[in-house]
Amino acid sequence: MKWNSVIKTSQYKVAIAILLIGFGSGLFSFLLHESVVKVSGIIGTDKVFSLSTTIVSILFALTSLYLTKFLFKDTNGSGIPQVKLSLVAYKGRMPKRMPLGKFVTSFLTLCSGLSFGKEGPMVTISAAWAHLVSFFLNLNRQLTKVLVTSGATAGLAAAFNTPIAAVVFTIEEVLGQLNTKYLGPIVLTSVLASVTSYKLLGNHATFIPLHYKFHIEWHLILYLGLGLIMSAIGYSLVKMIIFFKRIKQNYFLKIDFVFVILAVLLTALFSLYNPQVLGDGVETINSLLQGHASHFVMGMVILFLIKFVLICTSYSTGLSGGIFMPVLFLGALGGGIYGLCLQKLGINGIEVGAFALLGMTSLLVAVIRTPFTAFVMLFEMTRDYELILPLMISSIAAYWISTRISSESVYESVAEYEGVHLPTQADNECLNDMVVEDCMAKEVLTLDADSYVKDIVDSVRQTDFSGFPVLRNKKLIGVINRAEVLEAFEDEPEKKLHDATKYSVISIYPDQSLLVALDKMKRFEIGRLPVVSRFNDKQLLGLITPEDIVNHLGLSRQSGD
Amino acid sequence: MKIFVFSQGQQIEQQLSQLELDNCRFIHVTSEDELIEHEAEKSILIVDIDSVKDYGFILASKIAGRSDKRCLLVGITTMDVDPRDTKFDFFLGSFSEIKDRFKEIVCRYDEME
Repeated sequence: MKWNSVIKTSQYKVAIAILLIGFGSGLFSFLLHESVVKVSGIIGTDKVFSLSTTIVSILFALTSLYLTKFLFKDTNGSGIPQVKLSLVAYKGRMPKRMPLGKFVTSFLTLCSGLSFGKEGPMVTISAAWAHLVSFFLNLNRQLTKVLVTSGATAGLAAAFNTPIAAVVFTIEEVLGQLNTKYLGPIVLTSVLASVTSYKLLGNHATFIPLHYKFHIEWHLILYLGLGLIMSAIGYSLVKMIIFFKRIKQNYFLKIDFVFVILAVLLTALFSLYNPQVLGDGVETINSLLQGHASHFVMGMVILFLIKFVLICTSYSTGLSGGIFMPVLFLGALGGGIYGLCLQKLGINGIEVGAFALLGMTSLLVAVIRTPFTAFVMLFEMTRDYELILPLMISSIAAYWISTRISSESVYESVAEYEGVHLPTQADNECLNDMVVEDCMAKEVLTLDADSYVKDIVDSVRQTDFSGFPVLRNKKLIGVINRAEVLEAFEDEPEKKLHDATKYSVISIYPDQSLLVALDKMKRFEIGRLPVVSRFNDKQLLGLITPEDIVNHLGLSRQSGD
Repeated sequence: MKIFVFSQGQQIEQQLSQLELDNCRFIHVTSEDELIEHEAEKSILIVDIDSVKDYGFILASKIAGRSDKRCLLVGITTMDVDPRDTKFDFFLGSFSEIKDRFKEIVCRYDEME
C-alpha cells in the first residue's frame, strides 16, 4: 500500500501530524536537556569558571551569536515573540531551518553558562517542527496555524513536564483567547509531548514535590505584599533589560561580539563568588523551595542582585535562550528573602520555602504577564495542592499591580524596542469594537463596466487608488485593480472594462467590525474591500482599505489625547 | 422595564400592544442621539430594520461593541437580508414573531446583569 493512499484525507493527516508533533517535541526536549547537561559537565560551565572554561564558554556563545546572525536568522532571543508573530502575521509559516537552527543555537548558549532557560527555545523548536510537519503533509494554512499553536504548547509541556500549564500558556499568551477549534490538538500534543518527555527523562516534577500547608488566613496580606514587591522587581528587570539593550545598541552595534564576551566574563567573575548563579539554577531553586535558605539575608540579597544583573546582561545579548527559568530563580530568591525577613521580624508560621514558591509565581507574572499559567505551572511543578490558594492570590495581585505600573510584558517591551509591535488582546478588542462604517471611504472612484479601457486609463493613472469597483447601472458587478487596467490597455485598449473585470467580489457589510475587515483582507490576500448593503449586495456603500483603518485609528488616538 | 423601539413606523408597537405587558415602558426613538442619554440603563432595543435599513445593523454593532453594554438587541426584518455576523441578540423574520418570542426575550433580559 502506498503511503499517500494511507494519508489521503486531512483527518488522517492531522492525526499523524499531532502524533509527530507530540513525540517530536518530547524527543527534542530530551535531547536538548541531556546534551546541555552532559556538555556543560564536560566543559565545566556548571561550576566555578576556570580560565579554560571561560575561553570555551566564550567560544560557545560567539558561535551561537554568529550562527544566529548569518546562518539561522530569527533564532535570537527566547523565540516566543517569533511564534506569536508567525501565527498572526505569517499564517503560521516559520523558517524551515528553524527547528535545527534554534536547537543548535540554544544548545550552544545554554552550554555557555549564561543565564538562560530552555523553555522559550523549546516552544519555538516545537512550533517550527509543527510547521515543518504540516508542510510535508501538505496541510492548508488554517490547519498549519492550529498545528503550530499545538507545537508551541507541546514544547512547553515537554520542557517543564507541565501539560496543563502549557495549554493554559498557549491560550493566555500565544493565542490570547480561548478558541475551541484549537483546544483538541493543543491538549493532545501537550499530553503526548509530556508523556514522551517523562518516558525519556523520568516522570518527576521539575522541582521537588512540596508539602506546605496554608493554615494561617491572615498571611494572605503578606502574600499580597509579596505580589507588590515582585511587581516592582519585575518592572525593574524589564527596564534594565531594555537599558542594557540600549547600551549594546549605542556602543556595541558593530562589535556585538565584545558585548557577548563581556557578558560571559561577568558570568565567569560572579561564578567565583557563587556558582549557583550559573545557568537556569534548578538545584538552587530546589534548595530554596525546601526552605534551605541561607540564614544570612545579606548573602541572599547579594546573590539576588548578581542574578538580576546576569539575567539582564544575558538576555540583552540577543542570544538564543529563554527567560522563564532565570526569572523563576530570581523569584525564588526574592520570595526567600522576603520570608526570611518576616521570620526575623518574629512573625509566627512563616515557611521560607513556601514564600520562595510564591515569589517565583509572582515574579513570573510580573515579567511574562500570564497569571493563570504561572500558578497552574508552579502547582504542576511542585505538585503541592495545599498552596494553590496563596499561589492564586499572589499571582493575581502581581498581575494587577504590574499591569498598573506598565502595560507590557517583557516580550512586548523587548519587541517594541526592536521595532516590532506584537499583537495584544487590547488590539483585537479595539478593532472588534469599531465598525467598518466608521472608517470606510464613502466617496469612491468607480468605473463603468461598459466603458472602453482606453477611455478610463487616464483617470486611473491620475489617481493614487490601487483598486476600483466596477458598476453597471449603479450595481456593483466586480472589482479591478490598477495593474489590471494598465495591462488591459497595453494588450487590448479597445476592450470593454467588463471583459477585464473579476466578477467574484469579496465584500463586507458596514456594520461588521474592523477586525473582520482585516481578517478578510488577510485571508483573501486583497488590499481593499467594497462595502455593500445587507439588503442588496450589489449596492456599493463605500470602500475600505488597511490604510483607512490605520488612518482612522491614528485620528482616534489624537482625538483621544 | 424600558423598551426602546427604533423605527420609522408603528408596526412593532402594534404587535406589542396585543400582549398584556405590565411594568413595561415603550419609548419610540428615531435617531441614535435619542438613545445616548439612556445608554447606561438596562433596557431592550427593538430595531425595525425594514425602515432604518443598514443603519439598524450599524447601530446594533456600535452598541454591542461598548464594554458597558446593558441593552438587549432585537432586530426585525421581513426583507431578504444576509443575517451572518450581526450583533443582534435576537434576529426575527417577521413582526408577528415578536409576540411569540417576547417571553424568551424577557427571560434573556432578566439574565442580564
